[in-house]
Amino acid sequence: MNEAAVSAEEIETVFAGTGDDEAADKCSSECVGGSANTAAMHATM
Amino acid sequence: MWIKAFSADDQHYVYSAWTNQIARISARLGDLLADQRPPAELRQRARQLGLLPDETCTLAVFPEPMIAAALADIESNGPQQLVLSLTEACNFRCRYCSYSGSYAHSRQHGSTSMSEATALTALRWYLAFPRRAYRLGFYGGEPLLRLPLIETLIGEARALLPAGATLDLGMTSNGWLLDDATIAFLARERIDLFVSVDGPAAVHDRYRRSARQEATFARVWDGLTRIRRQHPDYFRQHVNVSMTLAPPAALADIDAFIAGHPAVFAGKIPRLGTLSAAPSRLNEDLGIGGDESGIDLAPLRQRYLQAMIAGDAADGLSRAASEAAFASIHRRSMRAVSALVSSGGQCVPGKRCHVSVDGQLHMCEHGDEHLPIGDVHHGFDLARVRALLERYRDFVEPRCRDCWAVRLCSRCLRQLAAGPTLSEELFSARCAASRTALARDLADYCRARSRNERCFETLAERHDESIAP
Repeated sequence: MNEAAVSAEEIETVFAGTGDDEAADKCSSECVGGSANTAAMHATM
Repeated sequence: MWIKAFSADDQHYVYSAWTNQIARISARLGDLLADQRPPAELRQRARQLGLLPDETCTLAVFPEPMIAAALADIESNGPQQLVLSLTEACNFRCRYCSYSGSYAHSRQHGSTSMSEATALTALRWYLAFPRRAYRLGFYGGEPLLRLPLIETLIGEARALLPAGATLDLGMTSNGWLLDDATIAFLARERIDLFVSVDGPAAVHDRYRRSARQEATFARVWDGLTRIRRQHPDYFRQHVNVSMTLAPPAALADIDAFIAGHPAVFAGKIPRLGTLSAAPSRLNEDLGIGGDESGIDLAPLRQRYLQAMIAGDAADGLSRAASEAAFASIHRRSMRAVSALVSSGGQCVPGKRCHVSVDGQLHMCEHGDEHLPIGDVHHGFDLARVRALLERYRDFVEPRCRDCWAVRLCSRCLRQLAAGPTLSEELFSARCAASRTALARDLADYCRARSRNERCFETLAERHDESIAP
Protein backbone atom coordinates (compact mmCIF):
# COMPACT_ATOMS: atom_id res chain seq x y z
CA MET A 1 0.00 0.00 0.00
CA ASN A 2 1.13 3.54 -0.83
CA GLU A 3 2.55 5.10 2.36
CA ALA A 4 0.20 8.05 2.08
CA ALA A 5 -2.91 6.18 0.96
CA VAL A 6 -5.61 5.65 3.53
CA SER A 7 -8.10 2.84 3.76
CA ALA A 8 -11.53 2.65 5.32
CA GLU A 9 -10.58 -0.73 6.71
CA GLU A 10 -8.17 0.97 9.04
CA ILE A 11 -10.83 3.04 10.79
CA GLU A 12 -13.76 2.04 12.96
CA THR A 13 -16.10 4.44 14.74
CA VAL A 14 -16.33 3.68 18.45
CA PHE A 15 -17.64 5.04 21.74
CA ALA A 16 -20.59 7.17 20.58
CA GLY A 17 -21.79 10.06 22.69
CA THR A 18 -25.26 9.88 24.18
CA GLY A 19 -26.59 13.40 24.41
CA ASP A 20 -26.78 16.82 22.85
CA ASP A 21 -24.01 18.61 24.71
CA GLU A 22 -22.00 21.26 22.97
CA ALA A 23 -19.33 23.41 24.61
CA ALA A 24 -21.63 25.24 26.91
CA ASP A 25 -21.92 27.55 29.80
CA LYS A 26 -21.29 25.28 32.76
CA CYS A 27 -22.03 27.79 35.48
CA SER A 28 -25.54 29.14 35.12
CA SER A 29 -27.29 26.22 36.77
CA GLU A 30 -24.69 25.85 39.49
CA CYS A 31 -25.73 26.47 43.07
CA VAL A 32 -24.34 29.43 44.90
CA GLY A 33 -21.08 28.23 46.18
CA GLY A 34 -17.68 28.08 44.70
CA SER A 35 -16.50 30.62 47.22
CA ALA A 36 -14.27 33.41 46.02
CA ASN A 37 -11.17 31.36 46.50
CA THR A 38 -12.37 28.76 44.01
CA ALA A 39 -12.55 31.08 41.05
CA ALA A 40 -10.56 28.76 38.83
CA MET A 41 -12.45 25.57 39.51
CA HIS A 42 -13.71 25.27 35.97
CA ALA A 43 -10.32 26.12 34.56
CA THR A 44 -8.55 23.34 36.31
CA MET A 45 -10.95 20.49 36.86
CA MET B 1 -7.66 21.46 12.12
CA TRP B 2 -10.80 19.83 13.47
CA ILE B 3 -9.24 16.43 14.09
CA LYS B 4 -7.06 15.12 16.88
CA ALA B 5 -5.17 11.82 16.79
CA PHE B 6 -4.27 10.30 20.12
CA SER B 7 -3.47 6.96 21.68
CA ALA B 8 -4.50 5.11 24.81
CA ASP B 9 -2.73 1.98 25.96
CA ASP B 10 -1.67 0.38 22.69
CA GLN B 11 -4.69 1.60 20.72
CA HIS B 12 -4.78 4.56 18.34
CA TYR B 13 -7.77 6.87 17.96
CA VAL B 14 -8.84 10.01 16.16
CA TYR B 15 -11.47 12.50 17.24
CA SER B 16 -13.32 14.62 14.69
CA ALA B 17 -14.89 17.89 15.79
CA TRP B 18 -17.01 17.83 12.62
CA THR B 19 -18.84 14.61 13.51
CA ASN B 20 -17.92 14.58 17.23
CA GLN B 21 -17.08 10.94 16.64
CA ILE B 22 -14.18 8.96 18.00
CA ALA B 23 -12.68 6.33 15.72
CA ARG B 24 -10.23 3.57 16.43
CA ILE B 25 -7.51 3.60 13.79
CA SER B 26 -4.52 1.57 12.78
CA ALA B 27 -1.09 2.53 14.05
CA ARG B 28 -0.20 3.51 10.50
CA LEU B 29 -3.13 5.94 10.32
CA GLY B 30 -2.24 7.23 13.75
CA ASP B 31 1.11 8.22 12.35
CA LEU B 32 -0.36 9.70 9.18
CA LEU B 33 -2.85 11.78 11.18
CA ALA B 34 -0.38 12.98 13.82
CA ASP B 35 -0.36 16.67 14.78
CA GLN B 36 3.09 17.15 13.30
CA ARG B 37 1.98 16.38 9.75
CA PRO B 38 1.57 19.33 7.34
CA PRO B 39 -1.99 20.74 7.60
CA ALA B 40 -2.81 20.32 3.89
CA GLU B 41 -1.76 16.66 4.01
CA LEU B 42 -3.73 16.08 7.21
CA ARG B 43 -6.82 17.72 5.80
CA GLN B 44 -6.72 15.64 2.63
CA ARG B 45 -6.37 12.36 4.51
CA ALA B 46 -9.05 13.32 7.02
CA ARG B 47 -11.47 14.02 4.14
CA GLN B 48 -10.68 10.71 2.49
CA LEU B 49 -11.48 8.97 5.77
CA GLY B 50 -14.72 10.90 6.33
CA LEU B 51 -13.30 12.71 9.34
CA LEU B 52 -13.69 16.15 7.77
CA PRO B 53 -16.25 17.46 5.25
CA ASP B 54 -15.31 18.69 1.79
CA GLU B 55 -16.20 22.23 2.74
CA THR B 56 -14.18 24.28 5.21
CA CYS B 57 -15.47 24.07 8.78
CA THR B 58 -16.49 27.39 10.29
CA LEU B 59 -17.15 28.70 13.78
CA ALA B 60 -19.64 31.43 14.71
CA VAL B 61 -19.47 32.47 18.36
CA PHE B 62 -22.48 34.43 19.59
CA PRO B 63 -23.56 35.54 16.10
CA GLU B 64 -26.10 38.32 15.94
CA PRO B 65 -29.24 36.12 16.20
CA MET B 66 -27.79 34.44 19.30
CA ILE B 67 -26.99 37.78 20.91
CA ALA B 68 -30.47 39.08 20.07
CA ALA B 69 -32.06 35.98 21.60
CA ALA B 70 -29.88 36.28 24.70
CA LEU B 71 -30.82 39.92 25.21
CA ALA B 72 -34.50 39.18 24.68
CA ASP B 73 -34.30 36.34 27.19
CA ILE B 74 -32.77 38.32 30.04
CA GLU B 75 -34.96 41.32 29.28
CA SER B 76 -38.12 39.22 29.47
CA ASN B 77 -37.27 36.50 31.98
CA GLY B 78 -34.54 38.01 34.11
CA PRO B 79 -31.91 35.98 35.94
CA GLN B 80 -32.24 32.27 36.65
CA GLN B 81 -30.46 33.07 39.87
CA LEU B 82 -29.75 36.24 41.79
CA VAL B 83 -26.69 36.23 44.03
CA LEU B 84 -26.41 39.03 46.55
CA SER B 85 -23.03 39.94 48.02
CA LEU B 86 -24.39 41.20 51.31
CA THR B 87 -21.04 42.38 52.61
CA GLU B 88 -17.40 42.57 51.65
CA ALA B 89 -16.52 42.00 55.29
CA CYS B 90 -15.27 38.62 56.37
CA ASN B 91 -14.28 37.27 59.76
CA PHE B 92 -11.73 34.97 58.07
CA ARG B 93 -8.47 35.81 56.37
CA CYS B 94 -7.87 32.70 54.30
CA ARG B 95 -4.44 33.14 52.84
CA TYR B 96 -5.43 31.94 49.36
CA CYS B 97 -8.63 33.97 49.14
CA SER B 98 -9.32 35.95 45.97
CA TYR B 99 -9.77 38.95 48.22
CA SER B 100 -6.54 38.41 50.15
CA GLY B 101 -4.72 41.10 48.24
CA SER B 102 -2.58 38.57 46.40
CA TYR B 103 -4.44 39.00 43.13
CA ALA B 104 -3.70 41.76 40.66
CA HIS B 105 -7.24 42.56 39.59
CA SER B 106 -9.41 41.57 42.54
CA ARG B 107 -10.74 43.70 45.36
CA GLN B 108 -9.32 43.22 48.83
CA HIS B 109 -11.18 42.51 52.05
CA GLY B 110 -13.27 45.51 52.93
CA SER B 111 -15.86 46.58 55.43
CA THR B 112 -18.46 47.81 52.94
CA SER B 113 -21.85 46.17 53.19
CA MET B 114 -24.98 46.23 51.05
CA SER B 115 -27.65 48.53 52.42
CA GLU B 116 -31.06 47.06 53.16
CA ALA B 117 -32.55 49.43 50.61
CA THR B 118 -30.21 48.19 47.88
CA ALA B 119 -30.85 44.55 48.78
CA LEU B 120 -34.62 45.04 48.73
CA THR B 121 -34.45 46.93 45.44
CA ALA B 122 -32.48 44.06 43.92
CA LEU B 123 -34.93 41.50 45.25
CA ARG B 124 -38.00 43.36 44.01
CA TRP B 125 -36.42 43.86 40.59
CA TYR B 126 -35.78 40.11 40.38
CA LEU B 127 -39.19 39.03 41.57
CA ALA B 128 -40.91 41.34 39.09
CA PHE B 129 -39.75 39.07 36.26
CA PRO B 130 -42.43 36.50 35.39
CA ARG B 131 -40.70 33.27 36.35
CA ARG B 132 -41.90 29.92 37.65
CA ALA B 133 -38.68 29.34 39.59
CA TYR B 134 -36.54 31.82 41.45
CA ARG B 135 -33.22 31.16 43.07
CA LEU B 136 -31.72 33.56 45.55
CA GLY B 137 -28.16 33.23 46.78
CA PHE B 138 -26.38 34.94 49.66
CA TYR B 139 -22.73 35.60 49.28
CA GLY B 140 -19.99 37.81 50.60
CA GLY B 141 -17.61 38.32 52.34
CA GLU B 142 -19.23 36.16 54.96
CA PRO B 143 -22.99 36.32 54.44
CA LEU B 144 -23.86 35.18 57.97
CA LEU B 145 -22.46 38.50 59.22
CA ARG B 146 -25.70 39.89 57.75
CA LEU B 147 -28.13 37.36 59.20
CA PRO B 148 -30.84 39.94 60.09
CA LEU B 149 -30.81 41.20 56.50
CA ILE B 150 -31.03 37.64 55.19
CA GLU B 151 -34.10 37.07 57.39
CA THR B 152 -35.66 40.27 56.07
CA LEU B 153 -34.95 39.36 52.45
CA ILE B 154 -36.37 35.87 52.73
CA GLY B 155 -39.50 37.21 54.40
CA GLU B 156 -39.92 39.80 51.66
CA ALA B 157 -39.25 37.23 48.94
CA ARG B 158 -41.89 34.86 50.29
CA ALA B 159 -44.38 37.72 50.51
CA LEU B 160 -43.75 38.88 46.95
CA LEU B 161 -43.34 35.46 45.33
CA PRO B 162 -45.81 35.11 42.44
CA ALA B 163 -48.50 32.48 42.97
CA GLY B 164 -47.34 29.04 41.93
CA ALA B 165 -43.68 30.01 41.69
CA THR B 166 -40.91 28.32 43.64
CA LEU B 167 -38.11 29.94 45.61
CA ASP B 168 -34.80 28.16 46.23
CA LEU B 169 -32.23 29.63 48.56
CA GLY B 170 -28.47 29.13 48.64
CA MET B 171 -25.49 30.29 50.63
CA THR B 172 -21.76 29.76 50.91
CA SER B 173 -20.38 30.27 54.40
CA ASN B 174 -17.11 29.81 56.20
CA GLY B 175 -19.12 28.13 58.98
CA TRP B 176 -17.79 30.22 61.88
CA LEU B 177 -21.16 31.63 62.93
CA LEU B 178 -23.19 28.43 63.07
CA ASP B 179 -24.78 28.79 66.49
CA ASP B 180 -27.89 26.76 67.24
CA ALA B 181 -30.32 29.58 66.47
CA THR B 182 -28.69 30.25 63.10
CA ILE B 183 -28.70 26.55 62.30
CA ALA B 184 -32.41 26.35 63.15
CA PHE B 185 -33.08 29.26 60.81
CA LEU B 186 -31.08 27.74 57.95
CA ALA B 187 -32.87 24.43 58.41
CA ARG B 188 -36.31 26.03 58.64
CA GLU B 189 -35.75 27.95 55.41
CA ARG B 190 -34.16 24.93 53.70
CA ILE B 191 -31.21 27.04 52.54
CA ASP B 192 -28.74 25.10 50.38
CA LEU B 193 -25.58 25.58 52.37
CA PHE B 194 -21.97 25.09 51.36
CA VAL B 195 -19.58 25.20 54.30
CA SER B 196 -15.90 25.55 53.49
CA VAL B 197 -13.87 22.70 54.97
CA ASP B 198 -10.55 21.93 53.27
CA GLY B 199 -9.82 18.67 55.08
CA PRO B 200 -8.69 17.66 58.55
CA ALA B 201 -7.48 20.33 60.95
CA ALA B 202 -3.86 20.11 59.84
CA VAL B 203 -4.89 20.76 56.23
CA HIS B 204 -7.76 23.18 56.81
CA ASP B 205 -5.90 25.38 59.29
CA ARG B 206 -2.89 25.85 57.01
CA TYR B 207 -4.66 28.62 55.15
CA ARG B 208 -8.13 29.08 56.65
CA ARG B 209 -7.47 31.43 59.54
CA SER B 210 -9.77 33.84 61.32
CA ALA B 211 -9.25 37.57 61.04
CA ARG B 212 -7.40 37.25 64.36
CA GLN B 213 -5.27 34.49 62.85
CA GLU B 214 -6.92 31.76 64.93
CA ALA B 215 -7.16 28.21 63.64
CA THR B 216 -10.74 27.72 62.45
CA PHE B 217 -11.27 24.00 61.86
CA ALA B 218 -12.51 22.95 65.30
CA ARG B 219 -15.26 25.53 65.47
CA VAL B 220 -16.38 25.09 61.85
CA TRP B 221 -16.46 21.31 62.18
CA ASP B 222 -18.43 21.58 65.38
CA GLY B 223 -21.01 23.74 63.62
CA LEU B 224 -21.25 21.41 60.65
CA THR B 225 -21.69 18.31 62.79
CA ARG B 226 -24.30 20.06 64.95
CA ILE B 227 -26.35 20.74 61.82
CA ARG B 228 -26.26 17.03 61.11
CA ARG B 229 -27.23 16.02 64.63
CA GLN B 230 -29.95 18.61 65.10
CA HIS B 231 -31.47 18.55 61.60
CA PRO B 232 -30.49 15.29 59.90
CA ASP B 233 -32.96 15.56 57.01
CA TYR B 234 -31.91 19.13 56.26
CA PHE B 235 -28.26 18.15 56.45
CA ARG B 236 -28.75 15.22 54.11
CA GLN B 237 -30.68 17.17 51.52
CA HIS B 238 -29.28 20.69 51.63
CA VAL B 239 -25.84 20.86 53.24
CA ASN B 240 -22.54 20.18 51.55
CA VAL B 241 -18.88 20.95 51.89
CA SER B 242 -16.85 23.28 49.71
CA MET B 243 -13.25 22.16 49.61
CA THR B 244 -10.31 24.11 48.21
CA LEU B 245 -7.44 21.86 47.20
CA ALA B 246 -4.38 23.98 47.80
CA PRO B 247 -0.76 22.96 47.57
CA PRO B 248 1.22 21.35 48.98
CA ALA B 249 -1.00 18.43 48.07
CA ALA B 250 -2.56 16.49 50.92
CA LEU B 251 -4.90 14.14 49.09
CA ALA B 252 -4.09 11.17 51.32
CA ASP B 253 -4.92 13.19 54.44
CA ILE B 254 -8.14 14.47 52.87
CA ASP B 255 -9.10 10.95 51.78
CA ALA B 256 -8.53 9.60 55.27
CA PHE B 257 -10.52 12.46 56.77
CA ILE B 258 -13.50 11.80 54.49
CA ALA B 259 -13.34 8.06 55.06
CA GLY B 260 -13.21 8.64 58.79
CA HIS B 261 -16.42 10.70 58.82
CA PRO B 262 -18.99 8.78 56.80
CA ALA B 263 -21.86 10.34 58.74
CA VAL B 264 -20.91 13.71 57.26
CA PHE B 265 -19.66 12.78 53.81
CA ALA B 266 -21.70 9.74 52.80
CA GLY B 267 -23.71 10.56 49.69
CA LYS B 268 -22.05 13.95 49.27
CA ILE B 269 -20.03 15.10 46.32
CA PRO B 270 -17.99 17.93 47.77
CA ARG B 271 -17.57 21.05 45.71
CA LEU B 272 -13.91 21.18 44.82
CA GLY B 273 -11.93 24.24 43.94
CA THR B 274 -8.32 24.92 43.25
CA LEU B 275 -6.40 28.13 43.52
CA SER B 276 -7.22 30.77 40.97
CA ALA B 277 -5.14 30.99 37.81
CA ALA B 278 -5.65 34.75 37.71
CA PRO B 279 -2.52 36.92 37.81
CA SER B 280 -1.29 36.98 41.39
CA ARG B 281 1.64 36.80 43.73
CA LEU B 282 -0.16 34.05 45.60
CA ASN B 283 2.59 31.43 45.39
CA GLU B 284 5.04 33.93 46.78
CA ASP B 285 2.64 34.85 49.58
CA LEU B 286 2.03 31.21 50.48
CA GLY B 287 5.68 30.31 50.19
CA ILE B 288 4.90 27.77 47.47
CA GLY B 289 7.57 26.92 44.92
CA GLY B 290 6.86 26.56 41.20
CA ASP B 291 6.83 22.77 41.29
CA GLU B 292 4.33 22.77 44.14
CA SER B 293 1.92 25.31 42.71
CA GLY B 294 -0.56 22.83 41.25
CA ILE B 295 -2.42 19.86 42.66
CA ASP B 296 -2.05 16.62 40.75
CA LEU B 297 -5.54 15.16 40.68
CA ALA B 298 -4.41 12.09 38.71
CA PRO B 299 -4.79 9.73 41.69
CA LEU B 300 -8.43 10.78 42.06
CA ARG B 301 -9.05 10.42 38.33
CA GLN B 302 -7.54 6.95 38.28
CA ARG B 303 -9.61 5.89 41.27
CA TYR B 304 -12.74 7.22 39.59
CA LEU B 305 -11.97 5.40 36.34
CA GLN B 306 -11.20 2.15 38.12
CA ALA B 307 -14.56 2.30 39.89
CA MET B 308 -16.41 3.08 36.67
CA ILE B 309 -14.68 0.29 34.74
CA ALA B 310 -15.53 -2.15 37.52
CA GLY B 311 -19.15 -0.97 37.51
CA ASP B 312 -18.85 0.25 41.09
CA ALA B 313 -20.04 3.52 42.62
CA ALA B 314 -17.17 5.99 42.72
CA ASP B 315 -16.53 7.87 45.94
CA GLY B 316 -17.57 11.51 46.29
CA LEU B 317 -14.10 13.05 46.19
CA SER B 318 -13.02 11.27 43.04
CA ARG B 319 -16.36 12.07 41.42
CA ALA B 320 -15.95 15.72 42.31
CA ALA B 321 -12.51 15.77 40.70
CA SER B 322 -13.31 13.76 37.58
CA GLU B 323 -16.91 13.30 36.63
CA ALA B 324 -17.70 16.55 34.86
CA ALA B 325 -14.97 16.03 32.28
CA PHE B 326 -16.09 12.53 31.35
CA ALA B 327 -19.77 13.48 31.43
CA SER B 328 -19.06 16.26 28.96
CA ILE B 329 -17.41 13.83 26.54
CA HIS B 330 -19.97 11.10 27.09
CA ARG B 331 -22.94 13.41 26.55
CA ARG B 332 -21.51 15.00 23.42
CA SER B 333 -23.86 15.40 20.50
CA MET B 334 -23.40 13.03 17.57
CA ARG B 335 -24.64 15.63 15.13
CA ALA B 336 -22.18 16.47 12.33
CA VAL B 337 -21.70 20.23 12.17
CA SER B 338 -19.44 21.94 9.66
CA ALA B 339 -20.76 25.43 10.43
CA LEU B 340 -20.67 25.47 14.21
CA VAL B 341 -22.70 28.09 16.06
CA SER B 342 -21.59 28.20 19.66
CA SER B 343 -21.68 30.14 22.89
CA GLY B 344 -18.08 29.05 23.35
CA GLY B 345 -18.85 28.43 27.01
CA GLN B 346 -19.76 32.03 27.76
CA CYS B 347 -22.99 32.34 29.71
CA VAL B 348 -25.66 34.80 28.80
CA PRO B 349 -24.54 37.65 31.06
CA GLY B 350 -27.24 38.20 33.63
CA LYS B 351 -28.60 34.64 33.78
CA ARG B 352 -26.54 34.03 36.89
CA CYS B 353 -26.70 37.58 38.12
CA HIS B 354 -24.48 38.80 40.92
CA VAL B 355 -25.24 42.01 42.80
CA SER B 356 -22.22 43.61 44.44
CA VAL B 357 -22.57 45.60 47.66
CA ASP B 358 -22.96 48.86 45.74
CA GLY B 359 -25.92 47.51 43.75
CA GLN B 360 -24.10 46.92 40.49
CA LEU B 361 -25.09 43.85 38.45
CA HIS B 362 -22.42 41.41 37.25
CA MET B 363 -22.24 38.14 35.31
CA CYS B 364 -21.39 36.06 38.34
CA GLU B 365 -19.87 36.19 41.79
CA HIS B 366 -16.47 34.88 40.73
CA GLY B 367 -14.60 38.14 40.47
CA ASP B 368 -15.87 39.93 37.39
CA GLU B 369 -16.28 43.29 39.09
CA HIS B 370 -14.61 45.04 36.15
CA LEU B 371 -17.34 43.98 33.73
CA PRO B 372 -20.63 45.31 35.17
CA ILE B 373 -23.88 44.73 33.26
CA GLY B 374 -26.26 47.16 34.96
CA ASP B 375 -27.46 48.16 38.40
CA VAL B 376 -30.40 47.40 40.65
CA HIS B 377 -32.07 50.74 40.01
CA HIS B 378 -32.08 50.58 36.22
CA GLY B 379 -31.85 46.82 35.62
CA PHE B 380 -29.75 45.30 32.88
CA ASP B 381 -27.76 47.63 30.67
CA LEU B 382 -28.54 45.72 27.49
CA ALA B 383 -26.15 47.80 25.38
CA ARG B 384 -23.34 46.84 27.74
CA VAL B 385 -24.33 43.16 27.68
CA ARG B 386 -24.33 43.29 23.90
CA ALA B 387 -20.93 44.98 23.86
CA LEU B 388 -19.49 42.32 26.18
CA LEU B 389 -20.76 39.47 24.03
CA GLU B 390 -19.41 41.16 20.90
CA ARG B 391 -16.02 41.57 22.59
CA TYR B 392 -16.09 37.93 23.59
CA ARG B 393 -17.01 36.87 20.05
CA ASP B 394 -14.33 39.03 18.44
CA PHE B 395 -11.72 37.67 20.83
CA VAL B 396 -12.60 33.97 20.79
CA GLU B 397 -13.80 33.34 17.25
CA PRO B 398 -10.52 33.89 15.38
CA ARG B 399 -8.48 32.14 18.06
CA CYS B 400 -10.65 29.01 18.31
CA ARG B 401 -12.06 28.55 14.81
CA ASP B 402 -9.47 26.02 13.65
CA CYS B 403 -9.06 24.10 16.91
CA TRP B 404 -9.97 20.42 17.29
CA ALA B 405 -11.30 21.13 20.80
CA VAL B 406 -13.88 23.65 19.60
CA ARG B 407 -16.89 21.49 20.59
CA LEU B 408 -15.51 20.31 23.92
CA CYS B 409 -13.73 23.36 25.28
CA SER B 410 -15.33 26.16 27.25
CA ARG B 411 -14.03 29.58 28.28
CA CYS B 412 -15.77 32.73 29.47
CA LEU B 413 -15.11 36.43 29.78
CA ARG B 414 -14.30 36.16 33.45
CA GLN B 415 -11.60 33.60 32.78
CA LEU B 416 -10.06 35.66 29.99
CA ALA B 417 -10.23 39.08 31.64
CA ALA B 418 -7.35 40.70 33.45
CA GLY B 419 -9.25 43.56 35.01
CA PRO B 420 -11.34 45.16 32.27
CA THR B 421 -9.09 43.86 29.47
CA LEU B 422 -9.26 40.52 27.67
CA SER B 423 -5.80 39.05 28.01
CA GLU B 424 -3.88 37.24 25.28
CA GLU B 425 -1.66 35.77 27.97
CA LEU B 426 -4.58 34.36 29.98
CA PHE B 427 -6.16 32.99 26.82
CA SER B 428 -2.95 31.26 25.74
CA ALA B 429 -2.41 29.71 29.14
CA ARG B 430 -5.99 28.53 29.37
CA CYS B 431 -5.99 27.24 25.79
CA ALA B 432 -2.84 25.20 26.33
CA ALA B 433 -4.10 23.78 29.62
CA SER B 434 -7.50 23.03 28.17
CA ARG B 435 -6.16 21.19 25.11
CA THR B 436 -3.78 19.16 27.22
CA ALA B 437 -6.58 18.24 29.63
CA LEU B 438 -9.06 17.39 26.86
CA ALA B 439 -6.54 15.18 25.03
CA ARG B 440 -5.87 13.37 28.30
CA ASP B 441 -9.60 13.09 29.01
CA LEU B 442 -10.30 11.66 25.55
CA ALA B 443 -7.55 9.08 26.00
CA ASP B 444 -8.80 8.12 29.47
CA TYR B 445 -12.36 7.96 28.17
CA CYS B 446 -11.37 5.57 25.38
CA ARG B 447 -9.18 3.51 27.69
CA ALA B 448 -12.08 3.09 30.09
CA ARG B 449 -14.69 2.27 27.45
CA SER B 450 -12.37 -0.18 25.74
CA ARG B 451 -12.28 -2.09 29.02
CA ASN B 452 -15.97 -1.72 29.79
CA GLU B 453 -18.02 -0.34 26.92
CA ARG B 454 -20.88 0.67 29.25
CA CYS B 455 -18.77 2.08 32.08
CA PHE B 456 -20.12 5.64 31.73
CA GLU B 457 -23.75 4.62 31.30
CA THR B 458 -24.75 6.34 34.53
CA LEU B 459 -23.52 9.65 33.07
CA ALA B 460 -25.89 9.50 30.13
CA GLU B 461 -28.63 11.40 31.90
CA ARG B 462 -28.05 14.97 32.98
CA HIS B 463 -28.95 15.67 36.60
CA ASP B 464 -27.97 18.31 39.08
CA GLU B 465 -25.50 16.83 41.50
CA SER B 466 -24.51 20.02 43.24
CA ILE B 467 -26.36 18.83 46.30
CA ALA B 468 -26.39 15.10 46.73
CA PRO B 469 -29.87 13.70 47.40
